[in-house]
Amino acid sequence: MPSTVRVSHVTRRYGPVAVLDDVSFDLTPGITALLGPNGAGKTTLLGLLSTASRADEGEITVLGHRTDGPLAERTQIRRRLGFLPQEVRFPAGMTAFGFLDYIAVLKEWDDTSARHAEVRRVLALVGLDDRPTIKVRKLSGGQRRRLAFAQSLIGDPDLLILDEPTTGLDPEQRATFRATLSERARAGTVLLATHQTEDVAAVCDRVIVLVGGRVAHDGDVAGFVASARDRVWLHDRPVADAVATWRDPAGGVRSVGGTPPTGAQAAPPTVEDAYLLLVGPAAVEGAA
Amino acid sequence: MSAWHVDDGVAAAYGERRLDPVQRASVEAHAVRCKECRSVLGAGATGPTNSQRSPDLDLEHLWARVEAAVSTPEVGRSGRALLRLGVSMSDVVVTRVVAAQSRQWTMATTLVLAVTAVAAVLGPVDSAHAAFLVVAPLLPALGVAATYRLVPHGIDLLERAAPFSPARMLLWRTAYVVVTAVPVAVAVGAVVLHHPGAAVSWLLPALACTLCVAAAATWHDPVRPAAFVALAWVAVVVAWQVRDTPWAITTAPTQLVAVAVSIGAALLLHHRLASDPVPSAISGT
Repeated sequence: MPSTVRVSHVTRRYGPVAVLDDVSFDLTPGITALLGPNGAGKTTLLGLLSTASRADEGEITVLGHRTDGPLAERTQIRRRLGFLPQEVRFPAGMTAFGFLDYIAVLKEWDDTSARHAEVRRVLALVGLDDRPTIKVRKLSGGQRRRLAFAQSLIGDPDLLILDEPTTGLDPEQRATFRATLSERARAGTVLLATHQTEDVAAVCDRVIVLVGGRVAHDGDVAGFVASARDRVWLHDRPVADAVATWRDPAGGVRSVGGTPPTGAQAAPPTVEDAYLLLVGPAAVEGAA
Repeated sequence: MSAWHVDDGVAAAYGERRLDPVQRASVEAHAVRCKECRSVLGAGATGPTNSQRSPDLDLEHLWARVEAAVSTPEVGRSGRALLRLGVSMSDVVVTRVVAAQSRQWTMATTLVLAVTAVAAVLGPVDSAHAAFLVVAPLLPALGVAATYRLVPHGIDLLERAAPFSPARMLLWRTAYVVVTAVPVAVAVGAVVLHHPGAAVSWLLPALACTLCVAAAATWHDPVRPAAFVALAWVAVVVAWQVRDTPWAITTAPTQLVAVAVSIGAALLLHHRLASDPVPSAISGT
């Protein structure tokens, strides 16, 4: 399958600190999860892929164009790209429709009728079509996040880059989000940076884990989960040297990693278990 | 959504055009948000035969029009003026957002100019001259930098990752700053400066400062070049005061230097925007 995105030996520094250090991977159509503790370089990487910033070393090719090429080449990428930043603060006094109308203009939707039809389409996709005239400041946090997600869908882009899109969404909204994303993945490529491992298990084909600015894992989700097999335990007390332990709803204690005591039962692993085992204490500290 | 819904009687009255304009508008505003009532109205309107039905009773079409009218943001007076001048609707949308994002800067500029005018009336005349000559030429340059800095977090990334021309965006931000700041500054200058030609003499230096900031901002965040240009301009005005030539700004050599700097900065800006600029807010990467 041809690569939509090719990242080759990319390094990005802020001062002396290498936030991304010799990162390489390819993306093909489907949904790829990008996991990693806070500060691992996920947001920086998404900024590079979206052409909003540039690498210090290495090459990134997106949809056949270099991100460090001339402006005309970057414009070709931007025309086929949908990007959701980690945080979007909305201009004061703007309505939901007005915000999307502006982003559609930035995406070169110059025909007013077509642009407004597209705005209504994406509002409907995120379930906000009944309140186009509401001021953004009157929307709830989840509704604002859906509105921000809606702008990334304008123009039905070939590549969607999403930075923590489900933050603040309730379970029903997350289910709707997953359905929309699954629909999108049939025709395009989605890179989903998230801390929600349930989302990864639900919709992703592949998972890349960044730790300390480097790729610590790159493979399919089933293989990632399998890497934690026979390393997750259920017992009546915590495993002493486990990476993480918590009370299981069944009444016992679930321990991830560590040396199982006599009588401990192996539990079926999840994406979260595999992630905790891979990242180790950094994941637990990051979540704290 | 309200608990009120369209019943068969209202639907029939609507279809037969027996409602007054206020009732009609109320029904339409509700029906835009209520699918069930749209169906009821549709049934009510299908009562008459096709030959009796007027074209605007094609309800699907009507709702689409009403919905479009309700949801589309107001263009406003300035927007309508721009449209009459031949500006595209897309650019009107951009100017509306730039204006919304830059409101704080506009208020600050107006305040600074007002304080300068009051100082000129109440305080020593020479000090007011100097203060105005420091402030006025820098307003557009600082304004352009401010319009980039005041873009909310997240939106700045979306603007950089969008195919919209960075040069076009710079043009509209600069136009906004010029339209909101320069006429007020010219008016205040006419009150404050008591020297032939002085009231407009700062315009070319202002152009030079603005273009320098814009060109330099293709390398850096606009604030740094704006601060540098501001310091340089303050040094020039102070030097004029120290040499006891406070009206040097009105002389031909000063104006020629401003023209030369403007041309140089404009050429550099054009080259940077047209070629391969490094990451910056203005160059769009």
